Amino acid sequence: MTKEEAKQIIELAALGCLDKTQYKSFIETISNNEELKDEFGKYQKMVSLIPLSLKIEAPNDEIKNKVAFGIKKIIQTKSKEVENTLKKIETLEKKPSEINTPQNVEETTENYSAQKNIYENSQIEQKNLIDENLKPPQESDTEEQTYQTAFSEKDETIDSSEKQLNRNKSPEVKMMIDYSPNLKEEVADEVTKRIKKTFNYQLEDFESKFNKKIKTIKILLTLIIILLITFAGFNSYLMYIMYSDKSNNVEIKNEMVRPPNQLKDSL
Amino acid sequence: MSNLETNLLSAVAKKNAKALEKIYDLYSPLLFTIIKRVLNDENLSIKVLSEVFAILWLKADTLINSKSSLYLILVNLARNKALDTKKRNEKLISEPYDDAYENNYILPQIFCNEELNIEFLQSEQETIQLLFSNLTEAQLYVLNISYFEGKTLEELSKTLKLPQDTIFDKIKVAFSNLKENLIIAGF
Repeated sequence: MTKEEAKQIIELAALGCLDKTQYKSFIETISNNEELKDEFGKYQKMVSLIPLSLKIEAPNDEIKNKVAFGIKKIIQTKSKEVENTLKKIETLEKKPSEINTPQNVEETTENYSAQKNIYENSQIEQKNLIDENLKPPQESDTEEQTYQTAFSEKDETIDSSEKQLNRNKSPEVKMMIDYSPNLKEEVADEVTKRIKKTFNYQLEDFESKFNKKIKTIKILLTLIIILLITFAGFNSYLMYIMYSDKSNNVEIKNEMVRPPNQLKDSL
Repeated sequence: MSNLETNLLSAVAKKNAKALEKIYDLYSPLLFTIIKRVLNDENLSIKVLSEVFAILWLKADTLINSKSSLYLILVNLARNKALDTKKRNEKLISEPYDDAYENNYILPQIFCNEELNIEFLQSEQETIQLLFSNLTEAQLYVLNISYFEGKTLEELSKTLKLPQDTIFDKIKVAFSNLKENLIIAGF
């Protein structure tokens, strides 16, 4: 897409009227041109005002609770996914570690310990946060109320006056978001490293097995060749014996066929 | 991004739940309205709103790097997520929803560096509504249907049974009028 073409469709792009391919090409074109980027930014600003032309509907407290509950569930699911990935990698690493050199084994162990520490720390922080924020449920609390009045209070520096206002409105029931702070980038990085490492180990394992197989094949081929040579030698020896037997027989036959006169002479 | 917004987003990146709650209190009315307008289903809208805030929670450090206003980030994020959910429900998207997909198609790419403050914009909502009401009915309809239904020009042409050029012209004129009106109103 040329700059002129991009300029032509700038309103459509800002409004989201381009398909994925067109939009990707549009972004590629404008990302190298400051003027087009600024122009596009202005249209993005205009488009972002469209929702304000609607009548804004504030979600009530019940919706807030449901959203908080939803966020908690999503974050828990994501944490479990990371946890499962870690477990899978752990299982994968066990086998290749058997064929590692001592140095590699040390590295793997260090890596594993670091990974374990990150995970354990996240669990501890998560537990602390629960202790810190989650009040024991009241007798009248339903399950949903336990998760009520979302989002734990970790930093008291943010807006204490609004907090006070909210306190006046509703009874003090707190909900925390169950999350694992460290199970994010650090874990993702570690996961990537470990996947790479495991893959390398598997590759090394595969290579050594492959080399062993090639050696076995070579030995087998040599044996086959030796056998073939021996067989050929044995065969030629047999042929030789048979041939010499045949020539003897011919001589005997010839002697038997000789006329009596010649036989006499010969005698 | 204003200092308050930067602080809030930084705090969310550091997993401060109170900061997330503050952002929720500021933005949830607008985001819920957008999502509900796209999906037309309250329960599904609540689910999508949760997903939007979960994305914010999990990817705050990526979003903070875009250096654009939190208003633009969240409005676009909510719209993208709602439209994606709608299209998936209608089986118009078959690509699996994974991290890469989310980074490419759900997280917004914002090129506007201007500060847009939600509290200011909400206080000026009446003026903004007036600016939009100055557009012709057809222009407003085309803007709304393309923004909230995420239709491409080709799809709009099929839906409205109008040539693509006509719709394109309507969009261009609508933007031109809106731009003029916004300048007059001091936005």
